[in-house]
Amino acid sequence: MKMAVSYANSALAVRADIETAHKAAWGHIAAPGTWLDGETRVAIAAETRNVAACALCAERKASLSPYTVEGEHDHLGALPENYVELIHRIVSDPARIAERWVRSMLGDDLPDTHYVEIVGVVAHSICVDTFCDGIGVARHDLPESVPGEPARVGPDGAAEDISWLPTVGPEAASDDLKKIYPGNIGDAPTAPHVRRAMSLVPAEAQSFFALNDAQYLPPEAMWQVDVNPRAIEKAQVELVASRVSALNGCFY
Amino acid sequence: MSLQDEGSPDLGLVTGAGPSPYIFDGDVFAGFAEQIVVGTTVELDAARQALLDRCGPRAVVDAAAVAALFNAINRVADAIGIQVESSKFDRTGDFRTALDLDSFQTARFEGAGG
Repeated sequence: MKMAVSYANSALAVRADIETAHKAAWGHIAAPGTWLDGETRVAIAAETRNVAACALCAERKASLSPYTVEGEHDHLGALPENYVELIHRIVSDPARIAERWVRSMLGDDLPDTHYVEIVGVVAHSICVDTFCDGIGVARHDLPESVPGEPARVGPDGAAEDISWLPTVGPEAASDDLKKIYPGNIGDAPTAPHVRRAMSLVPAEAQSFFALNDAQYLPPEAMWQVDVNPRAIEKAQVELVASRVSALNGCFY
Repeated sequence: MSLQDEGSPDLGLVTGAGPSPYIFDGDVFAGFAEQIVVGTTVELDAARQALLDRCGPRAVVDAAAVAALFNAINRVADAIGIQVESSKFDRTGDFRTALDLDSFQTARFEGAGG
């Protein structure tokens, strides 16, 4: 029987909002998504974990260019090859993802909507798994997938203006999507591009930013100097964030 | 408390080059973040213990949460290819220069293409 997400046995007391966000993230992965069913989504999370064991990814990571190393990934066999290639690249070598590679991946069998949803599931699972690794507890069992059909409804107003894939800016966002665009908080921008990144699949963006607000800083704390809900100093928060980002080669 | 003192950014902790007097216990926070991303289990355990000994359990949980979020959101940014907002170009110039960030393959500014 699979165990539900819980930090009750952690030697370090985990904030309730983190546990709540992680339970929600696992439920989000397991449920039918916007374009992919629950079974596929859980398989994506499993493949995300599997990347660490992939010899092709290790060889590509060590190479001068990942685009010159060909071969087959060591994968779990549950997903199409193009999904596997996408997942493995995002997990193992994100800083060397190039626009031409992204465009080569997109097509009838991997439309931009599905690409973004896969990115969302990968991000959710990495976020929870890395936290478990960080505090020294075993990773949670992956959830059982929930039967049902994907919603298959996309947002209006998506445009390819600030990224390689279409996003929905705040001016075109539905009320639901607007929730991830903080407004009226000091001089905060309403839609930093990172918040827009997965807006082509609003459910992924909304769910992921619930994790963001619990694990990093909620919007009111980001844009108001005197607001800090954490036990550590904001400078320490930003140091951790920037050191991780530097090591991942992430310019943004 | 800031990485800047009298207008000069002190970015040694971000690059891993060295300690900073401006971030309390910055060395153990940076070390923990680093081992989460690139360390072995043994190295991560040691870094976690160092942070725990210096700053306590709540600090470890908060730092792990931030590191985990950024380990994920870095990948979102680079898989989708988002550009940095043009409004940030001028005010980030000093530390972009100090860290040579513009040479990152992932350097994409709004309006500059790429």
